[in-house]
Amino acid sequence: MKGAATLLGLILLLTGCVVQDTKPQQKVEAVQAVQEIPAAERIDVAVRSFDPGIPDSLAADEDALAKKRIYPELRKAESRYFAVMLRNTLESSAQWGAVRVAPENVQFVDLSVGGRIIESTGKRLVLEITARDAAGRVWLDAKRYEGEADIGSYKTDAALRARDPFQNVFATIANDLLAARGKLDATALRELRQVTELSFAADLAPDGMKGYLRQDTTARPPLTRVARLPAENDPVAQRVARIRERDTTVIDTLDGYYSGFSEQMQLSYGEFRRTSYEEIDKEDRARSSARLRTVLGAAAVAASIFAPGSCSSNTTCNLESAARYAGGAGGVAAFLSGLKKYADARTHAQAFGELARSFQAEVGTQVVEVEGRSLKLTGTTEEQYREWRRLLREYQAQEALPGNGEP
Amino acid sequence: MASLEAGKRLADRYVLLERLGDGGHAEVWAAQDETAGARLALKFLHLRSCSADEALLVLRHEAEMARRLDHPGVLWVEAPQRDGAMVFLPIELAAGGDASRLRGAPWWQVLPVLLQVARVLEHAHSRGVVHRDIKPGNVLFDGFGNVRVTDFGTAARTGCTDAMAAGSPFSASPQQLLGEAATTADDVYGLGALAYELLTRYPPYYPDFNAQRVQHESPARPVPVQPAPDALVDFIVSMLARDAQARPDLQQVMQVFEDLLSAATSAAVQGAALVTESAAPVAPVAARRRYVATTGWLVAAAVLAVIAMLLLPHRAATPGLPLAAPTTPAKAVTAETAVASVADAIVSDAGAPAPATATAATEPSTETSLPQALQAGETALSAGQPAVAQAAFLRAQTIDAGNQDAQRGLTRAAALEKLLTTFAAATRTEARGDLAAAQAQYRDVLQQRADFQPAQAALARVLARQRANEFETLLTTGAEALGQGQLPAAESAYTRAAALNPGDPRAVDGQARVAEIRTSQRNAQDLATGVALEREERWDEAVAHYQAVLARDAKLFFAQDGQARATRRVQLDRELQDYLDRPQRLSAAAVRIAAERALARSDATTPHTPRLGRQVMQLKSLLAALATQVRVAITSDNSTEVSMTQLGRLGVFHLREVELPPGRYTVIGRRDGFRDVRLELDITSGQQATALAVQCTERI
Repeated sequence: MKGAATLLGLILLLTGCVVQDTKPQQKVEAVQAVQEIPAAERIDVAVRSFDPGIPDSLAADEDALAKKRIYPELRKAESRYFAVMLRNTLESSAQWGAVRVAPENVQFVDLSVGGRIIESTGKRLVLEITARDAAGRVWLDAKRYEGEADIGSYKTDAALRARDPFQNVFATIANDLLAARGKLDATALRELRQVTELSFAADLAPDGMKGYLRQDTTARPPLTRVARLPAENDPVAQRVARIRERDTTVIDTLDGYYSGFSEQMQLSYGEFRRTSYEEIDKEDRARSSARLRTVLGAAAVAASIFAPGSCSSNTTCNLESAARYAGGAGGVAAFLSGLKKYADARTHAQAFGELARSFQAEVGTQVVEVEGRSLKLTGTTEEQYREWRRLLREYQAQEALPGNGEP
Repeated sequence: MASLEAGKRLADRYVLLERLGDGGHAEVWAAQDETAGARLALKFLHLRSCSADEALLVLRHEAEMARRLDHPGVLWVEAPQRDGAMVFLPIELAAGGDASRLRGAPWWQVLPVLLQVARVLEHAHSRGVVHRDIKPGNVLFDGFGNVRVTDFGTAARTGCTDAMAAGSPFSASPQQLLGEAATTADDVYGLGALAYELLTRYPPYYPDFNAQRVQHESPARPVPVQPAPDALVDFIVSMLARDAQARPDLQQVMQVFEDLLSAATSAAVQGAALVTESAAPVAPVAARRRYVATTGWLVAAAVLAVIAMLLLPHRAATPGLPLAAPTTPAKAVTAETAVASVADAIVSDAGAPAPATATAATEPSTETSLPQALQAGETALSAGQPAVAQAAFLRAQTIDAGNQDAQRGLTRAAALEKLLTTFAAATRTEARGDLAAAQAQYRDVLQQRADFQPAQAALARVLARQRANEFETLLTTGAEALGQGQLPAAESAYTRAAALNPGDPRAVDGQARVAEIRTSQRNAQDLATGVALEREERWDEAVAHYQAVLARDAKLFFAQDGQARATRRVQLDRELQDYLDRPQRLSAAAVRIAAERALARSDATTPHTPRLGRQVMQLKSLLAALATQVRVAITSDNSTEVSMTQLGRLGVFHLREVELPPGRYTVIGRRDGFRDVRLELDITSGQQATALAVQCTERI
């Protein structure tokens, strides 16, 4: 009898360890700039749409993906949403120059940050982040960031709007990027800015702007360095600078599309994540409970082994029966809950899929004025920027008259 | 007169076919009128004694006189035509020859002709026209034996002496020979002379004609070749009286002629002996014998033919009479052809054999019984001889006054008479060229007898001729409009003509000519536009203009040349202007050489237009200024790589001297680890030597 009491105590102890309440987490904030950073050292950042992280092996198997809580349409929407969250976090820190979410083909930017979604539910977020600068330095190399949802953000819509449940993750990334930047001195930062600018110029006017960059193969990894600077009154450089301003405008416009998309999905996505969180939490509890019952059942079995005679007392028989019943009932509930959750998540995912598609469709036509000429851009963000660069090269080729630039 | 020969084409309309006759003053040809699609006669005055203009006046006079008349016995004429030296008068073609072949014919054959001539003259006199040249050659017959009087060239208005030509002396009255004013008595004399000639074979006073003799002697009493009534001979003598007042007037003439013929007819109907008994004494013996030998049925047939002719003076002559034997096939004269087939049509309508015509014409007097008379009437009806039929049925009624068959026969004969009369009138109307009236008349005939095939054919022919006329009129309108440069009118006419007669080469050709002229006009306009643009040195516009023209017709040489020329000038203009707009480029030797070549091309370009001239002058001035060079000393830090537009890379140095022609130069200094320096250097013409420091100082 003493042994059974000891076992029961152990069970209760085990149960107490598994079934626990989630509490608001300690908030991590992005480090704010305390003084103004000189313009020549302010690094512009382009955050790319994240890789949705859908395993190739499961890409065609919707059910298998659902079991892993991966909904492709939702992941596509999240890939933009998280990029915007990181953009917002970096921007709010005032540590950087222009921070924009930009298509992959926006090449000439000081620092380019990309990521891959490893796991994303209402309860947990795991991202893998890579950051590389225009000179070739790798700031973050597929570094994994993960965090549990801050349930404080799920309490109200206002709370959700005020702080993302996984803001800690984004703040951590921002702080890591800041730390990486801290490894570069002011000269290196200025040179990085110049490398970006000269790379843009060389791409646009390869004849007029060649020779200003060089490859430093002694560095690891090899870096692109500034060899010379164009004269202040170099007409080609001046012209390229003017065009780059228009390029910035185009990228800003595209960034605006991403921001709009994120704002559009923020609340409904928050609701989804809140529901997801609760279901996962409930499921976890049910699973823990089932585990407990299994343990209890096992204990009962064990107790019946250690107890003299079979059902020597009413207490023992009742316990065995309760354990069996509880074990079976817990499995069915978990199963049924899983089915409901699966159906709800899929419905949500489909809704976000439509939202993601509407994002592509709603990217409007933009008309950009360049030196008196109007260039019309249509299509997705990627298509618009690709068309913009093509038109710029075409325009530059037409304007490159003999005697221009190189003597 | 210029040579006339078959096949010759005149006035772009008439094609000569054959010469019909050649008199002392004129020559007559049968011709095809290609415009009207009909045959006609062309009368050419011999120009031996007058000019073409004078001949034209004569023919105009004749046409004017003829046009005053409106009688089926007068040949219609058109306005005289002129084709170069050729002057001629289109006249209706009379296919039956002239009255010459009646010379020596029996009086009962001659008299109906004279009566018809008299009626024509009566009509002429009523219109104030005196023919004054009545002779066998001017009395013609159409294809049906109807008399058609022609040649009003000698005619004059009553009381006038304005005849444009002299007539035959044999037929001219003494007053006419004296040049007195024309009177109707002149034509009575002429008709008498005609009767004289036809009965005796020769005209009065033949062969010893003398104008003086005519004034003082009466002609010899005529002696007809074949027996003739004395009354007729006497009357002819009276017609030839020297004193015009002594001659009978035309009314009397016609009355006497009709009386003589009526008497002869009555005698024939009654089976009486011929008037030849009274004439026999004056007839030559040989003639009398021949005449007696032909007694019997032949004489009777001839008398019946006279009856038919009197009753149907304008219709086809009865077989057996010389009038009914046209010497020229009448196929080309469509109206006549139609009438010629009338008898056949009637025969076929009645289902009777054609030989019945001969029977009816040759054996009318042999029937003595009622059935024979009725049969003769039926046969005549079948042969289309209402007068003969009427005579036969009248005889039947004489035998049996109440005979119903005879009465019906008379009714049918009257209907046939009316039908044929109307039809004949229609054919004359058609022959006159009044197609609208002819159409109405043919329709009238068909109302009387809808299945009358000749009228059906005639109506179809008239409609076709009207359409053909309309077609020809449209072609003429189109041609005239083309001649006057009125393209829309011409196009409209040819389009209507083509619609009327699809595929007709003349309409198609007319349309093609309109299109061709339009194209030609447009090309001319395009050429003028191109020339104007080139003259104003609007080369870009000229190129565009010529391209547009070539897009329409790539084979237009002027546009090809213009495009090539304008394109060269556009290129030259742009090149010259570029040198002038960016003269600094001329600092480069290669550019200067190109500019010199452009100048050479400019010098070879004609015409040297004002703008081109200014460009050449300004460019030459620029190049001349560039010929002088200025010394420039460039200092550096021996670390900066120096380069200069037009000269290229100068290298690294402390001091470098270069000589530069006037112009704007860009000097660039480069040094790794430094910012480039870029300097602008302006060298002006006549400038003194200058110095320049180039070195990179801003370390990156």
